[in-house]
Amino acid sequence: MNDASTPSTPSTHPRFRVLLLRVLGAELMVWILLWLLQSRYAS
Amino acid sequence: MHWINWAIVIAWLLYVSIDGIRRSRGTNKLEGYFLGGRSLPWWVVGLSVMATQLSAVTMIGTTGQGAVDGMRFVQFYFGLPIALVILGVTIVPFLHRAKVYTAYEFLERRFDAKTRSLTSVLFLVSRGLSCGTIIAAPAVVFSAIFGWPVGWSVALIGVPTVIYTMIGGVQAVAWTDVKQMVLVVSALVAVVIVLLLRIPVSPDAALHIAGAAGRLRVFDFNFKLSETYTFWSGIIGGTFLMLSYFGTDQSQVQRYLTAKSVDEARSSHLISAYWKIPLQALILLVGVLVFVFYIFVSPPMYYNPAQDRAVRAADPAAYAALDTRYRAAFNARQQAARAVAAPEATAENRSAFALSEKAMVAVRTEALKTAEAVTGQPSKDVNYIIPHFVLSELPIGLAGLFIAAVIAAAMSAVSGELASLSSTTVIDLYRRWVAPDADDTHYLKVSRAATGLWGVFACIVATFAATLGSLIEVVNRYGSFFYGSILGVFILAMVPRAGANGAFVGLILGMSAVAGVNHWAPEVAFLWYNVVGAVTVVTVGLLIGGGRAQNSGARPVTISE
Repeated sequence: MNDASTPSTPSTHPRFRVLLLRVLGAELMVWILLWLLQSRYAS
Repeated sequence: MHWINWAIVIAWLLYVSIDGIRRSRGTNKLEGYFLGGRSLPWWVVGLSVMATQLSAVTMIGTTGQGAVDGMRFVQFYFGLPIALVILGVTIVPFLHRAKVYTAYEFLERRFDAKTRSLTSVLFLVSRGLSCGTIIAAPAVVFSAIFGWPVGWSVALIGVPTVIYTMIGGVQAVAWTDVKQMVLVVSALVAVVIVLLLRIPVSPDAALHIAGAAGRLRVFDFNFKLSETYTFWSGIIGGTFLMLSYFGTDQSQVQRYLTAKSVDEARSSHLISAYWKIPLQALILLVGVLVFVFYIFVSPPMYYNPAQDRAVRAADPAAYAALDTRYRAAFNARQQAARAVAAPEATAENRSAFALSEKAMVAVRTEALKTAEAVTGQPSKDVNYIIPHFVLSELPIGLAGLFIAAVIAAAMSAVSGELASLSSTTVIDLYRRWVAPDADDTHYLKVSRAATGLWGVFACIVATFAATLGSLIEVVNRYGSFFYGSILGVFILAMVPRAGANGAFVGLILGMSAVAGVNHWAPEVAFLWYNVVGAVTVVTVGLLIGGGRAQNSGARPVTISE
């Protein structure tokens, strides 16, 4: 995939979208939990 | 502190030191010493990466910040998962396959020796001093609490760490980090459980009280460049910072170079991507719950006992008067909090509580100003809140466990930094410029000596941190000047038409641009410096261009050497 001197760019990497979706999905869940915490107790 | 607590601390220090030294097997080659023979499992690498970032400052400073400022600091990490995914498909596979020892080695292959040397020297200066501050922060707190000279606390943390890192290399660092992480997380969870049991209202009511005091406000969507912790600075500035930290900082790069394969290196990063924000939220939550605890249990006016003694001795009558007002404010706040905790609490109850909290803060601010006038030193005591709570409120055994966890956090952060300082010194400077053709045995001896010397340097900086305060602050400040710029150089490395001159000039101008922003727009929060630096370097580098550099005179950088 890479030659010896230049790394690939994210958009051309086949696993990028899968990884990004998985991690962003997990982060979104954390954000929702934090948002629920804030809206229940801090508003 | 009770002797059982001390026994736990000492037992932990002995266990970690012996375990680290035991890991020296297989470190008779440079690759074994610096990269663990590129054979470590992904979960060890991943936990080690997390442990290196989690220092004692996190254990006592971030929890303290949670107590006084609430949860909003967690926004600082919002860019981290995004950065790790980007790195997982760019720099991580590239550096892993390139079989380099350091991130900066790659810059010579791609650009030239001067870019490599400049970035590695910038890293050594900033990390060398920051390593000292990592030891200094808990050492200063321990000294104030236990009444020791700072040098003793520095030795308690520094000596075992230097010994096992020197002997066992990165393998010792990574495997001890795993144990340190387990201890740290266990201690945090145990403290949360104790807090929930000791706070005299239900967890739901406790959170209502924290929320009414503004401690559970997580998201701030204001787009203000002057505000350090907002959603946008976390997502944009934080992504740039984390790209730079995880992608170009040797203390992190060295860790994923120890993984068995590219996939394992990538998986190791995903541990941080998934767990860093929840862990940080847990750490801040400990602080928030300590804040609630001290609504029902009378807190000291000064969490730093040295300050308390100084103010009391300077003017006992003024101290007593201030203390009386403080206790009155505490009682009023407690009453208001009980009203908020009641099932029939109204918006008025919450407002009354918020006002009583303000009154309490006002008295404490006055007390801290008095301490500053008496001692002539900054009186901020955020770092003392959690240690005070731990030593005066936690049961015997658990207090020792927490203190051991603070020391463990410091040790894991320092050991990682020492290993990276040593590898950069030996690979990027010594082997590149001083002795290019020596054998592994020679490099190994020099590497161990370099680890030891950096350890001694860090301990000296830590011991004199109080007097070096302004110098360290300057260096830390200038550290944020070049973080984004170094990221810019690595981004340029991915662009085929970028050249060596563009990268070098871009690096200089990137740092200058950040210095300019700092000088002419000092209100801009530091997280944005990373964006300014990286964008300037990439723009300048692309404008100058210049094609790919040749490695004139540079020795090839492969592991087979």
